[in-house]
Amino acid sequence: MPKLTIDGIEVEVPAGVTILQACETLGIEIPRFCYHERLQIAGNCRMCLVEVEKSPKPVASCAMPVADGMVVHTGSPMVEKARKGVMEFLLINHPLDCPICDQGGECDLQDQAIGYGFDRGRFSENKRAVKDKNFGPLIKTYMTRCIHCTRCIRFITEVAGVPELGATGRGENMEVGTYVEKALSSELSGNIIDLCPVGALTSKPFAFTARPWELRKTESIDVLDALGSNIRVDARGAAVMRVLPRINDDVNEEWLSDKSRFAYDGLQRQRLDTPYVRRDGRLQPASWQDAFAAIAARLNGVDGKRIAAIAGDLADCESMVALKDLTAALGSPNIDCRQDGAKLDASVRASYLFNTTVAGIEEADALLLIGTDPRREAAVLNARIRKRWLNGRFPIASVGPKVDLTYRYEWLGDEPRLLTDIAEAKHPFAEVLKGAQKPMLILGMGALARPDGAAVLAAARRLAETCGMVKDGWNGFNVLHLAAARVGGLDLGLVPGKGGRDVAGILAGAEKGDIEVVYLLGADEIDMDRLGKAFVIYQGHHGDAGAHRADVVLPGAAYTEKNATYVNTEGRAQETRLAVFPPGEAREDWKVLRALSEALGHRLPYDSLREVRERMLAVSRVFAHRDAVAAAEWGAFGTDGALDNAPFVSPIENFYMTDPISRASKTMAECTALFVAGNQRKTGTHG
Amino acid sequence: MLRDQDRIFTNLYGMHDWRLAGARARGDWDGTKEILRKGRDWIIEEMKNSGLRGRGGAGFPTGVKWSFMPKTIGDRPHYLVVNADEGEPGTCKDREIMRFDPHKLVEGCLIASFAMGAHACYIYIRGEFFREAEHLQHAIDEAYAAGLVGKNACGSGWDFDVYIHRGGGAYICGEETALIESLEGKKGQPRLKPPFPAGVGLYGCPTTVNNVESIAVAPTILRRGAAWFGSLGRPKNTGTKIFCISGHVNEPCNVEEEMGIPLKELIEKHAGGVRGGWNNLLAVIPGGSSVPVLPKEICDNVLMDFDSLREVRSGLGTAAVIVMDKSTDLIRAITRLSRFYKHESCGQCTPCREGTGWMWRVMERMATGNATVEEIDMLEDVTRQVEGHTICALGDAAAWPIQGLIRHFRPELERRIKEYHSARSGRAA
Amino acid sequence: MTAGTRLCTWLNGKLVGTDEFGNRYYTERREPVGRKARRWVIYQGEAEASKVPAEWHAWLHYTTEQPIAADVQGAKPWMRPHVPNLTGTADAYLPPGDDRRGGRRERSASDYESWRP
Repeated sequence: MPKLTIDGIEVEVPAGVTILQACETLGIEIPRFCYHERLQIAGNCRMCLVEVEKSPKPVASCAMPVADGMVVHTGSPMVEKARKGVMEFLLINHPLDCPICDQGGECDLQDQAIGYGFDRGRFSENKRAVKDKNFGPLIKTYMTRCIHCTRCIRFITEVAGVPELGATGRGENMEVGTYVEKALSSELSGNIIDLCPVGALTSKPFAFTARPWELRKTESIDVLDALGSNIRVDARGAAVMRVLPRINDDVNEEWLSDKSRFAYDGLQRQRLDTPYVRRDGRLQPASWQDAFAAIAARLNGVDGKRIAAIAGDLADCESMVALKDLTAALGSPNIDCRQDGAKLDASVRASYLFNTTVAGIEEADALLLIGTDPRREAAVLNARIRKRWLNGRFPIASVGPKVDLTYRYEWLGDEPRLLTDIAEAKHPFAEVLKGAQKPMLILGMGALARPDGAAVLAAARRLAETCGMVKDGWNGFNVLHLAAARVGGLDLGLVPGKGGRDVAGILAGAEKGDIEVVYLLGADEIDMDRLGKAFVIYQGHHGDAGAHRADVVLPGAAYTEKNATYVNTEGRAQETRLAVFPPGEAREDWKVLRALSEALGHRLPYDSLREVRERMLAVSRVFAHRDAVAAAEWGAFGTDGALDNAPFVSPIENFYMTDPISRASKTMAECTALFVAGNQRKTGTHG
Repeated sequence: MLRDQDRIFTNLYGMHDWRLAGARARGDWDGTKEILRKGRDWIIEEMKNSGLRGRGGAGFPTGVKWSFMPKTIGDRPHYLVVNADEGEPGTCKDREIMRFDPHKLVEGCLIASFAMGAHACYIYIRGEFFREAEHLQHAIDEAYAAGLVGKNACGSGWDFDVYIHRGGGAYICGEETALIESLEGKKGQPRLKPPFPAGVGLYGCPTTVNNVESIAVAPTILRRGAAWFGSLGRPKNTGTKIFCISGHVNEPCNVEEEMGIPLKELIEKHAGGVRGGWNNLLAVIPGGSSVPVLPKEICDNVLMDFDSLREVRSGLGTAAVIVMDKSTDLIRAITRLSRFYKHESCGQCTPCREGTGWMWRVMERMATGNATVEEIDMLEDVTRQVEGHTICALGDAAAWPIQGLIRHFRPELERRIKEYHSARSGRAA
Repeated sequence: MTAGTRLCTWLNGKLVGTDEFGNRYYTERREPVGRKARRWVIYQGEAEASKVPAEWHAWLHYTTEQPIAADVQGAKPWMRPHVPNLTGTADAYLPPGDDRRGGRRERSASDYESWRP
C-alpha cells in the first residue's frame, strides 16, 4: 500500500487508486467536471489539477495513480491559479443564462464558479453558440452550455451500451451529438441528465416547471419494475414534479430507467379520486359509506368459496396482508397475486428470488438467460450485467427472445427443450457453465407465465443443480420478476389456499358463474371480459381496465402517496414514503381494506401502520430486516412434466407502458410512439 | 561542417536510385543480420551510448525509450509505431527520407522492432504524403521480396511485418497517443499519461512510438558504432540532424548537419544567406512552428541543438528553421500560427479548446492594433493558463509562439496599438 | 376616542393638519424639554392605523419634520390614492380561484385529471 502525503497529512491508500480518490479519503474535495466514479476516466476538464512535488506541471488528480512517497498539494498557489484558469476558460464560452437555466441551483459549474471564478470576465470576443440537438421526448438540449466533459458520451457508450453519442468536430467546434440527429434509444438515457454537470442536458418533461430549491424531497422506492430502484421523489404542492435516482450500490447504483424516471406525469392523470358504485349499469360517484354498503349488501350471504381476490402488480405488502386476512375472514381460499399466471411456487423462497442478488452479478462468471429480455424487463439490472460483461471473461447465453441486450451473448435458440439439453450436458454451453466457478441463470417471466411454467421451473432447477449453480456461499438460480408486488405477495402467501383457485381458476369460475364476487386489488392485467357476470370490486389508483369493468370502485393511493413496503426481485424489503397525499377521497390501500372489513363485519385486528407491519412480520420474517437480503433456503420446487414446444417470448412488448401509471403518462405515450411504433423521423441515410 | 563521409542520409536530394538496389549500393541492409545477432540488449545499449535524442521534437533519448518496453513478451504482443505524420509547419525532413531513402526507414523498423520484441510495425503516414506512401510501400514490397522483412527477416529467425497506415490529415495525430487512437480507428485525441504507451499502447499492448528520422538513423548508428555518432556534435546533443530551412533565405533547403552548428553558419552556408544580407534578418523560428521565435540578437550566435536553444528559452523541436527578414509582419505571422493551433486543437481538454480560440482572436486584433496595451499582459496571462495544463503538448505549442513574440517584440505590439488608435482618433477629429 | 384622549388633546394639542380622509393630526402645544414633542392622530370614524396615508405616516413617525402635502411637487402620475387595509371588509382582496370570485383559476402543476367512467 503506497504511502503519500497530501497537504502535509500522511495517508496510506490501496495501490492503483488515483490522487483524487486518495484526497477523498481525507475529506479533501477536489473540484471536477468530467470525473465520475462510475464512468471511465477522461481527464479532459482539467479542473482537478493538483501540484505534485517533482512534477514540473500540475497533474490531473482524477487520472494520476498514487505512487509511494508522492507529496501532493491541493491548495497551493500553483493549484489555485491552474483551477482559476480552467474555470475562466470554461466560462468564456458558457452563456450567462443561469436565471433561465433549468440546472440553476444544482449546477456544478455554478457551484464551482463561486470558488474559482473571477468576478469579471476578460473575454471580450464573441461567445460560441451551438445548435441544439433533438435527443427525443425525454432530454432537452441546450448545447451552447456544454462544457465538453463527455460524461454523457461515456455513460451512453459504457453503461447503457448504446454507442449513439459522440463528439464531432474538433477544437472549439467540437459538438456532442448523435451525428445524424436521432432520439437516444437507450432505456437509461435519462441518466445523462443527472450526469451533465451543466444545463446542456435537462429533463424535457420537467423543463421550466420548478426550481430545485422549491421542491420537497422524499426518499422512496420505484415500483414500475421489480428491481426496486431507490429513488428520490421531488414534489411541490400536491404534485410529483420529478423522480431522481438515489445511490444504492446494492440495487441500482445511481441509475434509473427512463420509465421509472419519466412516468410520474401518469400520477396526475386518470386518477380515481372518489368511490364509484354501478347503478343502473353506470358507475356513479358515491360516498365511502355507500360504496361499502353496496359491497356489504352484495356479499351478504355469499358463500366464501364463491368469493375471490386478485392482487395486482403495484400492490404493496400492507394492503396485500390486509386483503389476505379479509378473504380468509370471508372464508375464501381463492386468492392469488400472480395475475399473469406465472407458475411460481410460494413454498420454497429460493424458487422465486433473484438469489444471486443484483450486486452478486459482478461476482458471477457465466450466465444463462432463460426466457427473459432483461434490457426491457429491468433496464438497470441489464446495465449491471453489461458492467460485468465489460470486465471480461463472462460468457453469456440466452434461451429466449433474440433481442439486442447491449452486450454480446450466444443465442442458443428459444425452444424450452434446450433447458433439458443443457441440464443433461447434451449442449455445448453446459460445459461452459460447469467450467465456471460461479455460474448463474436468470429465469424470466416469459418462461414461467405459460401453461407449462411449473415444468420449466423444474427444468431450470435441475439445470441449476447439475451445472453447479447452487453450492455453499453461492446461489446462481435467479428469477427476474416484472411486478414490484410479486415477491411480497408470495412472501405473504397470497396464493390459493386449500382447494382454492388461482387466477386461471378464478377467471374460469367467474365465466361459469361459480365465482360471484371478485376483489381486484389494483389488478389490471387480467382479461376483464372473462369475469362474466361476477360482481367486481376494484381498488386502485388509476382508471384502467379494472375500474372500467368494476361494479364498485374504491380509490387507493399510488406509490408516491403512501408509506408502504415492497419486496424487490432479490427479496429485499424496502419502503416507499409518502411524498404527496392521495388525491380527493383516495386513501392508503390497507386503510381502505381495514375500513371495508369493518363494514363487512369482519374487523381486521390492526388500526395503525405499526400494527399492520407487526401482522406482516407474523406472516413472514422477511419483513424483519429492511433494505437487506437474507439468503433463502434451497429446496425442491417445480413440477416435473413435459415441456411445451412453444418458444419463449418476453412478456414485455412495450417497455414504456407496462402498468396503469405508465399507461396514463403522456411522456411514455410519446416514447411509445417514437421508439416502439417506430416513428423516428427518417433521414436521407435510411435509403 | 559535416564531412561527407559522416552523412547518414546520402540520398537526401534524390539524386540516386531510392529503390533497393540503390539503397544497397549506399550501404543499407548491409550486415543487418549480424546486428540482429548481437541481441536486443546490445542494440539498446548501443543506442543509449550513441546519445541519440528523439528527432520528433521533444528530444527524449531514443535508447532509453526503447528500454522502457517490457523485457520479455508476455501475453500481449509488442508493437512499434513509426510516426510519419509529419505536420509541423516548416518541417519536411521525414518526407524526404520516405521519398528518397525509404529503405533506411524499413531497415530501422526491423532493427527497432527486434530490439523491442515487436513482430509488427505500423508506419502511420500523413495522408497528404501520397507519393511518399507509394515509395515506402514499394520499398516494403521489395524488402519482403528480398526476404529482408517478413518471416525470418534477413535470415535472423525473427518474424517481422510492417504495415503502412495513412492518416486522415489531423495535426494532432502526430502526438503519440492520439496517433495510437487514430490507428485503432478512433477519433484522434491524445490519451492520458500515465499509463504510458510502453505499458498500455496500441490495442492496450506495449508500444513504442518513434519519429521517422529517429528510426531511420538507427541502422547506420549500429553499423558505424555509437562512438562515431557520439563524436559528432556536443555532449548530450550528439550526432547529425536534418535541418529544414525555409522562409526568407536565398536557397531554402533540407540539409543534414552536425548538431550544435551555429544558426548563422547553417543559414549562410547551406541556405545562401538571409535575403538582403544577415542584417536584414528580423527573427527566426528555430524548430518548427511550436517553439518561441528568436530575435536577430540571439540568432547571431546561438547553436542549433536541444540544450543551447533551451537556454535561450526556445527549442530545437523538429529543427525546422523558419527565417523571417525585416519585410515580415511578425505579429501577423504569429497570428497565422495561432489560427493553425486553434484549427488543429482536438477539443478534448478545456484549456486548449477554449484557450487557442481566445488567443487567436486576441492575436487577430493585435495584428491590426485594435487592442489595448493591457491586453498584451492579459494575452500573456492566458498563454500561461494554457501552458502546462493540457493533456498533450499542443496547448504548450500554441502558447509558446505568442510568449516568444511578447517576450522579444513587445515594443512592436505596443507601437501598432498606438498607431491604430492615433489613426482612428485622427480620423475622428 | 376615549375621554382621556379628548381631554389631553383639548389641553395640550395643537392641530397641525387634516388629511383628505378627515383624520386630524396633533402635536404638543408647548415644546417639551429633553424629549421630542409627541405627535398623534385623531381618526375620522373608526380608529384604524392603516387609514393614515403615507405622507402623514412619515410625519407621525418623525421621518419628516413637516408634514408632506399630498399634492407635493413631484407627485407622479402612477401614484395611487391611499387605501386603508381592507382585510375583513367586503372589498378585501380575493385571489384568483377563490370561490367568491367564481372559483376559476389557471391550471397549476398540482392539478390532476380524475378518471371519469
